[in-house]
Parts: sequence; structure tokens; C-alpha cells
Amino acid sequence: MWEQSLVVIRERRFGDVLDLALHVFRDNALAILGWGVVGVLPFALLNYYLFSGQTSQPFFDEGDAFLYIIFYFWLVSWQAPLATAGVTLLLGQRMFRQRVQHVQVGKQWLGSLPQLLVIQGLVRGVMHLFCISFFIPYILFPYMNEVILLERNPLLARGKMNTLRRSGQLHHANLGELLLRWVLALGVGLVLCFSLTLALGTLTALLQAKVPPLSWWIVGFFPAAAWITVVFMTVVRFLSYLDLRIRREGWEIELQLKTEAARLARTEWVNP
Amino acid sequence: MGFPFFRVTIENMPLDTSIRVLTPENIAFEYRLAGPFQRLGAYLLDLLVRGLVIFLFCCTYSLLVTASRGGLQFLGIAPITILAFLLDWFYGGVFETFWNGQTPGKWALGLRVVTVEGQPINGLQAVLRNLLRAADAMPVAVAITFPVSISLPTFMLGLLVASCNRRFQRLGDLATGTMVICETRETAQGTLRIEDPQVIQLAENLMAVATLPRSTIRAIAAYVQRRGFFGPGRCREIASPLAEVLIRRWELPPETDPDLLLLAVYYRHFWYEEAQSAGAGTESPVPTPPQHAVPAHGRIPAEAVPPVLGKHL
Repeated sequence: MWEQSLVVIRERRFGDVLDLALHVFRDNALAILGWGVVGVLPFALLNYYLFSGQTSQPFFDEGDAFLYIIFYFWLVSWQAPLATAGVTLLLGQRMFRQRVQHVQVGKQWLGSLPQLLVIQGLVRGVMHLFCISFFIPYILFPYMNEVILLERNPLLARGKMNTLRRSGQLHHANLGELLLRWVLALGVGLVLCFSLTLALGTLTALLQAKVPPLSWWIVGFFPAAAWITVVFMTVVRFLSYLDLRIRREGWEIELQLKTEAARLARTEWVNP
Repeated sequence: MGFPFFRVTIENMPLDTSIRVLTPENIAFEYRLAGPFQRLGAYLLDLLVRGLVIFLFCCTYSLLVTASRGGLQFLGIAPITILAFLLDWFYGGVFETFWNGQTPGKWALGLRVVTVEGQPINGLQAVLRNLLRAADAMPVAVAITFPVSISLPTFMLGLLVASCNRRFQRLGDLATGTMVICETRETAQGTLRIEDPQVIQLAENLMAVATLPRSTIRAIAAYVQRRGFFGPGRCREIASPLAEVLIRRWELPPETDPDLLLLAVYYRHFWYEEAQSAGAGTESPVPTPPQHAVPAHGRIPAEAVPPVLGKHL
């Protein structure tokens, strides 16, 4: 178990987590992108439909584009946990190098859907409506998706572990660190999204030998870059969740001791 | 035949951002690699330093032009342009040559450029890898805004190339056989001194500790070093799986506290003999730490350190 994990289990700095996410993304690129597309596509189409009234206007200019980008980011940040649930489940299966069972991922996703809709859809949605509460989920329960999807506790259960209690247990007493990590992740995400948008636009311009029109940037390059960034940051969030469990709960020690217990249970040794 | 075998080996290894380099003397060194995101911070710091240098030069130059009463006006902005060019192309190369693979940004974040064999880089490698940064910055977006155009490097090629190899080498690194490492200094932790009478009493009866495999002792040592960070409930939860096996094997009372048992095993392994010899009034020899190969991830096992730094629990 300890030796068969997808990544080496140890405490990491955030920069290290980001770099490791590149390795994880590369090694599981097809599966991650596959589940990423499955989750993201409905939301990308919904957003296109929601904004098509404005973006198709002939007087849509750079000023409007700026507002559009702000609103698109706002919408994506709300939709991201729902859209990337499949990727999180996939990474959960891959963590101990299990053979990925896509049907199982789909079943688990459906099983967790009620909790996802209530907490990540409804509660986060309400918090997203107000500037003052927009940041709360990122600081108070940034790894709620992982708690819901990978630990699979009931939402509310008296006298035993439930999702809310588990989330409090995990995130409690780490607020400062979680805030810092969120700020860093936001910065990296924005830079990555900006670079990707420019790169996609520039490559298209080079291939076409002319600068693409504004509408291409607005409905094509920018949303594509935003969602690619979201999928990558899901991998980062998954690894950060593991890191938090290692720091706060000694998860790596638990795995190490379990591995030794299993090894000793298999091995006969001389009992003097 | 070799390639599939190599492929399987790599696939079965857990992913990490560290790499092991074997010297010709057959000594393995482990390096923590710095990937694109860790290097981004150093790059931004270097940009800041370069910007500051240009700003200070601009201030000094404008004072000189004013002081010369038009005598230097024929130079125009040429000195500033030349300085910007030199900094752009040779800042990294010169610093990494004379500062043993570091620029101010890398120094601040504890990063260093070394060869893939772990050796210091030479001047040619330093200059070439920095010149090739221009290729890594591709595609470069050009925003034409009258009267100037702004070039915005996206670094997507560099990111893509660095993601595709285990050493996070960008094109400049691949061309010169270099990599960037983090200089982490991990301090070895001493063994913890345990003085809880319950633990000592239980340890008296644990004759079979000597038969435990080294990996189990290492796992228990890791647990004892970290257990102070967890609550009693969590300690019991973590210790239970291994403790249950030991209780069964050693036929201990089933109600034995898992945490207490692992502490007793730890005490028995690291402290029991010393405590016995001290108790018998004999001169206490300095215990020789067991010799361990340096394990993966560069962490020195606690048992490899003489127990002179012991803390009281």
C-alpha cells in the first residue's frame, strides 16, 4: 500500500505540489482529460448559451470583454467542483494504482451527486452571490469535494462521522495555511489561464497568418484555457488534500504502519 | 527487451519530484528537483532585480545627462537599451557562472542549477541554457499598441517540455545537460527519550522486539516522532493495525493500549539496553547506531542518529 501509491507520500511545500501535479497530469493525461471533458462540457455549453446574447452583439468591445471575463471566472469558480468531480474520483482510484474502473467512477459520482448539489451547488452558490462571502469556501472548506467524493460519509448522521463533521475536523486549525495556499493557487491559476489563452491565440494567428477576431478569443480561447486550468488545478487540489491529511493526520504514518502490519501478518518470524 | 523492462520499472515507481544520482564511486545522492512552478518564483524575483537595476541606471543616467548640460544628449537612450539587452541575455548566464549555478532569485528560494550528474555547471552551460530561454518562452504573443508593441512570452513550450521529462528540464536544460534542484536542508531528528513508567514496564516483557524487521522499527520510529502532533484518539487509530498484529503474535492482553505498545517497542529497541547498563552501575557505553542505507526521499531515519539529542516526552 505504502510503496504502491501513485505519488511518494510525504509532506510537501505548495510549489512542490504544483510541480508534482505536472507529473500526475502527464502520467494520467488521457483519463484525466477524458473525465475532464465529460464533466466540463455541459458547463462550458451552458456558459456559452448564457453569454451568447452578449458576445454575439456587434458592439461587443474590449470593455465588455473585460466584464465578460470577470463574470466567466465567477461562474467557473462556482461550477468547478461539480465539473471536476469525475477527475477527483479518478485520482482517488489511481492513488493506490488500482485499475481505473470508469463505470465505478460514474457510479460513485452519481452516489455523491446529492451531497455535491447541496453543498457545492447550493451552499457555495449562495456564498458566491455576495462578494463578502465569496472567499469563505476556499478558506473554510477548500477540500470539501475530496471529503464528499473520496471519504463518502453521510451528509448528516447523528452520533457518527458525517461530511460536515469530517470537513471541520480536516480543515479546522489550518485556516492560515489554507488561506495562503488559496492565494498562491489563485495567482498560479490566473497566470496559467492568461498564458494559455495567449498561447492558443498566438498559435492560431501563426497558423492563419492573421490575428483572430475578438469573438474567437472570447468564446474559444479564453473558456478553453479557463477550463484546462480548472482541470489542472483539480489535480493540484487533490494532491494538496493528501498533503493536508499527511500534515494534520499523519496519513503517511498510518499507511506505513498498516503496510508493516500487513507484512508481519503474512510473515512468520521466530517468537522467542 | 530492455525498453519494456525499463518502462515497467518506471511505471511501478511512485511519482515524486526527487531524483537519485549515482556517482562513479557508486554513491547515491538524492536531489529534490525544482519544477516550472518553483522556478517561476525565482524567475519573477530575477525580473524584479533586473527591473530595479534598469530603473536605478535610468535615474543615474538622466542625472548625468542633466549635469553634462546636453553633452551626453547625443547618446539618447542607447545606454539604457544596451543595458536592457545585456541584462536580458546575460544576467542569468553570468550569475550562474560565477555564483555556482545560482542567480539572486534562485539564491533567495534555495534553488541551484547543476548538471544531470549532480556536478557544478560551467560557464558555457550557464550561458547557453539562459540563451535558450527565448525558445522556452514560445509562443510569444505580441500586443501591438501604438506607439510601442509589447511582447508577452507565454512559456508554454517550456512548460510542456519540462512536464514531459522526469527531471523537469526545459529546452535549455536538455541542450546543456543541466537540471535545477532545491537545496533543502533536513535536520536529522534524534531518538526520543521515554520515561513513562507504564511504557518501561511493558517494554520489560517485550523480548521479541529484536526479531522485528528493520522496516517495522523504522515505521514505529516515524510514528513516535510524529505522535505528539495528534490527539490520543488519532494516535490509537493510527497505532491499532500494527499493535493488533503484535498483540496477537506476542500473546499480550487484548486490552493493551496500541499507542503504549508501540512506544514500548520503541523504548525496548532504542533505550532498553542503555537503561539496563546504567541501572547496573556500569559505565554506559555510547550506543552504536544501527547502520542503515539512506532510504528513499533523503530522510535520515531516526535510529541512524545517536541518541544524544533525546527529548523527554
